[in-house]
Amino acid sequence: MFHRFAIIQLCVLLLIFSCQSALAHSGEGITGGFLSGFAHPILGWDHVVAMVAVGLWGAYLGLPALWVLPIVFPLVMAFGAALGIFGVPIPAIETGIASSAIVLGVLILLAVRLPLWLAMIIVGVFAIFHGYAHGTELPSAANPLSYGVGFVIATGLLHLIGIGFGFLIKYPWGGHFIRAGGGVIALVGCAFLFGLV
Amino acid sequence: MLKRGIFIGLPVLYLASVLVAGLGQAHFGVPIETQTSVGLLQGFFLGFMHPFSTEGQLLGVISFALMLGLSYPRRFYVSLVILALAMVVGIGLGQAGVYIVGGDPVLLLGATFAACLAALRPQGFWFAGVILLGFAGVLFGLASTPEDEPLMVTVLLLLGSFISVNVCIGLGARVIGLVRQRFASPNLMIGLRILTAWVAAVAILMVALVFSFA
Repeated sequence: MFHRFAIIQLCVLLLIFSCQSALAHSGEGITGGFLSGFAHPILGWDHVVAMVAVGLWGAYLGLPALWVLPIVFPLVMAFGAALGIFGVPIPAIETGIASSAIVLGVLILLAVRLPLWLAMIIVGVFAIFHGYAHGTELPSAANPLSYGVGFVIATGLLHLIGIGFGFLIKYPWGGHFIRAGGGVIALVGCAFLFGLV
Repeated sequence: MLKRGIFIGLPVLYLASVLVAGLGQAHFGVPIETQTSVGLLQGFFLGFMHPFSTEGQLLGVISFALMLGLSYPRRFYVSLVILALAMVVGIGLGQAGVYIVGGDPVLLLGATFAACLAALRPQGFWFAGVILLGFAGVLFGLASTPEDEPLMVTVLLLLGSFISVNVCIGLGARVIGLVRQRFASPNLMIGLRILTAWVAAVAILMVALVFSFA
């Protein structure tokens, strides 16, 4: 037993001393483009909470919102990114992103069940702000296709995380958990809106 | 009717190998220059890889495969015949000297509409999809036409491109359709539509980028 543990320790030490420094910001080539795009929605907490909120709200509203909202969001987000690429001026982008977290969080917290068309409009309007923020960075990406694929996948995965949490509604305590999650999302949005983060 | 996974395995592997080779060639390989002198076998290979050489063609193949796969088996073979005929028309037009400026961005636009149609599935989805497929087939054919090559190399390049487009779209759609039938789950259909929305989003981004540079 001790012998095996010593070998593992030795391997870990060898790995530590043989490592080179990580160049996380080299950002070149197809990998750099993909990773850069993938990291963009994930590294900003305002993006993260808003996109998780979309999935969470979709799961809370049930079918067909469960799949309609995660389809509408990337499509409209790409449209917003196109506006960013063309340089169409949209004011208060960061305010819009923070507001998306607040509004979606409050809707979840209060367990508001809106009609599907209205939910689509709300999610679509906020998607434009998120897409615009990504789109302004796209032209400078090393590989725009990889960057686009990366950030669309990251966005979709955040929605799926939200949907995953939303499935907790099956349990008796799940509804409270989801509504509390909505409250946390709204608070994070407020923190971004008032510059506390 | 396909029942067991073993029958799905071969097309999946075939498709995966073609797509991986194509993606690898498109992104890590040297640029495909159809104007250079090439050998016969190399000509076929270059033609086969040509649909993966630009964003428009690559996203076009993926979008149309998803579009047909999500409505499989409804009018599947009719759609494939339309694609093949349209591509023959496109190749014929290309050989006759017809050239479209900005053919690839237009193909990208077609891919965007196809992916949006597949994700949103509005009324008249199939009819619009078939028109798009025919339109894209002509553009694929036009884009595949090489310049100033010996006749035999030209034929092999075009043959490679024709087979590649039709096999990738047809096989991709069939695999998606068979997987849907095999795992008849509403969640799978939801997942595929969300995936298609992602493809549409990437295509919209590429369209915007191409037209912003133009």
